[in-house]
Amino acid sequence: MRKRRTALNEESTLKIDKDCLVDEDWIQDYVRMAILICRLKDVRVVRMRKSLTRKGFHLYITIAPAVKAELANRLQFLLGDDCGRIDHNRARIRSGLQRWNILFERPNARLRAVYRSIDASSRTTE
Amino acid sequence: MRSAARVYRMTLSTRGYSLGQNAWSVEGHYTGALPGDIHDVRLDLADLCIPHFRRTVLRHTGQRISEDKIRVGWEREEPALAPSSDIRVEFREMTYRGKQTYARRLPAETLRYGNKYDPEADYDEAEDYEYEDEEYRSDEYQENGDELEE
Repeated sequence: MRKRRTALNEESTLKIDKDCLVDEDWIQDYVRMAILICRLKDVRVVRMRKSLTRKGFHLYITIAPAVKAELANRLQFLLGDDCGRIDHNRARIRSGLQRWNILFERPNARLRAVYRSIDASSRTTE
Repeated sequence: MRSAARVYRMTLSTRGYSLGQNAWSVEGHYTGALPGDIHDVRLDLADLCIPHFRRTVLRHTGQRISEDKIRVGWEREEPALAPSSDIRVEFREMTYRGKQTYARRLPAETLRYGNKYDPEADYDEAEDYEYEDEEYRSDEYQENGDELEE
């Protein structure tokens, strides 16, 4: 018998957990690499924001178009997200949890933009 | 003046080992759209939901867990369209087997923010509770690994 699977919402934000602090030029290298990896899967990086955590930093990558949960988790894996998170996210996706992409933040955590695509900024001014 | 409502997403989790079995954990995903100061609402929500989570873990795993064994995590708050006193809860039982984690869906619930959680009332409901057959089966296939999609 074919088993029913819950349809999950498509994701337009990738969340990456990095447990180390690095210099700003390393972040800029990471931005270029993230754009290339997303391009491999026909996804465009619209915006990238960073928040500091106790152990390192979190990255919020807005992408277009929105992708299925499985591909979003795969992209997060390719972008070097925490391995434990990848494993748990995969299990949550398979069990049909809508809120599968969980990333804990401190209250009032400030997000700082590290990248914004030119297309996105021109679109907002139209 | 009443502050704007935000969507709060809280995750409570606990983990353990059973003799001769694999590592397990239970996650409770609480979501609510509530007005108020972020720090105050976070404290209130934790006060409301931790007893509920302990009760749920006891009901499903038969294990009593102390509050210090519960990990409380918060996602970044987002603006809500409208406030609501309903808090939606989803539970997952996670087991680690064969170098992978598998999740089993437990029945979802709705709590009401502002009412003190009454474990006795919850217990009566628990007696009548049944798994939804279809959902329960949909999780079993993951354990057998017979329909994993790539």
